[in-house]
Amino acid sequence: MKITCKQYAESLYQTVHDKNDSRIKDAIKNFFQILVQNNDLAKADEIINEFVKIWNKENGIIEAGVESAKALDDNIVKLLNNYIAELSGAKTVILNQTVNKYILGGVIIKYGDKILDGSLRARLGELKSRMIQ
Amino acid sequence: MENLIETFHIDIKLLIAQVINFAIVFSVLYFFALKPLIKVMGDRTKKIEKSIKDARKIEEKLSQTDEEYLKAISRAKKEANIIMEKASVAAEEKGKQQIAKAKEEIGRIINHEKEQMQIEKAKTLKEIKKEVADLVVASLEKILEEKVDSKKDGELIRKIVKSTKQ
Repeated sequence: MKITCKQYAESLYQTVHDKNDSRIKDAIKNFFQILVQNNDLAKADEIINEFVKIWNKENGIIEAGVESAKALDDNIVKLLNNYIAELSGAKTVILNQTVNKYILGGVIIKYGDKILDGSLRARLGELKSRMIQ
Repeated sequence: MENLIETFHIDIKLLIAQVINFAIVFSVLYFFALKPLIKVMGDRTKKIEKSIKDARKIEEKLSQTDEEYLKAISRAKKEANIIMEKASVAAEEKGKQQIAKAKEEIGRIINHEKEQMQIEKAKTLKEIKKEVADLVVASLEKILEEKVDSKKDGELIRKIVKSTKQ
């Protein structure tokens, strides 16, 4: 029976989530030995991604992408962190910032399966749609 | 009597002879001239009367024929009038139908043209709106690129966060 990446990731999480650092290292070592035995080492990257998702979910961590026209200062980053934490209910927010001049100003926030588009480009799009109607 | 005979020198014998001669001549004339003549005259009269009767009959027949002819003409005229009236009514009806059909067709064409014009107008208006919107958006893009610096962008983000929280 084939084991999926998600199943591997869930079993890894169950193995390591309540253990200390030294035991975690042993658990990971054993886990990779199992992957080699099952010829599933090629799935390692995908398993790690799934593991991160499960870990984040279980520990109240959320990864969010923030797109802005200019580099954001620390105050704005903090504001957005709190804002996303409030919206998602997460304890910790990992913010991935990218600069995209095309959006002109404002910010696009992506987390989970949600996208909040507060960019000036989106406002211009709305304005254009209204003018054409 | 004898005096009278002597006065006028009348010879009885001669008188009798003349009477006999007259009777003979009269008889001869009657049987050989007067009687055939009377017969010819009678025949002629009968022929003339018959001709007159025939002429009357012919005249009556002619008169009857004229009446029949007139009647036939009158009847033909009436029938012709009826046919003409029917034809006129039918033509009028057909004419009305054709006019109604033509009106309907014209109405349909006008409506179609109106619809086409409205579609074209709407299309043109939409194109104009799009052109204007493109120009406005392009202009705003230029302005925003120039005017929005990091500070203003930060303020904008704060406003967005604040407005979505409310």
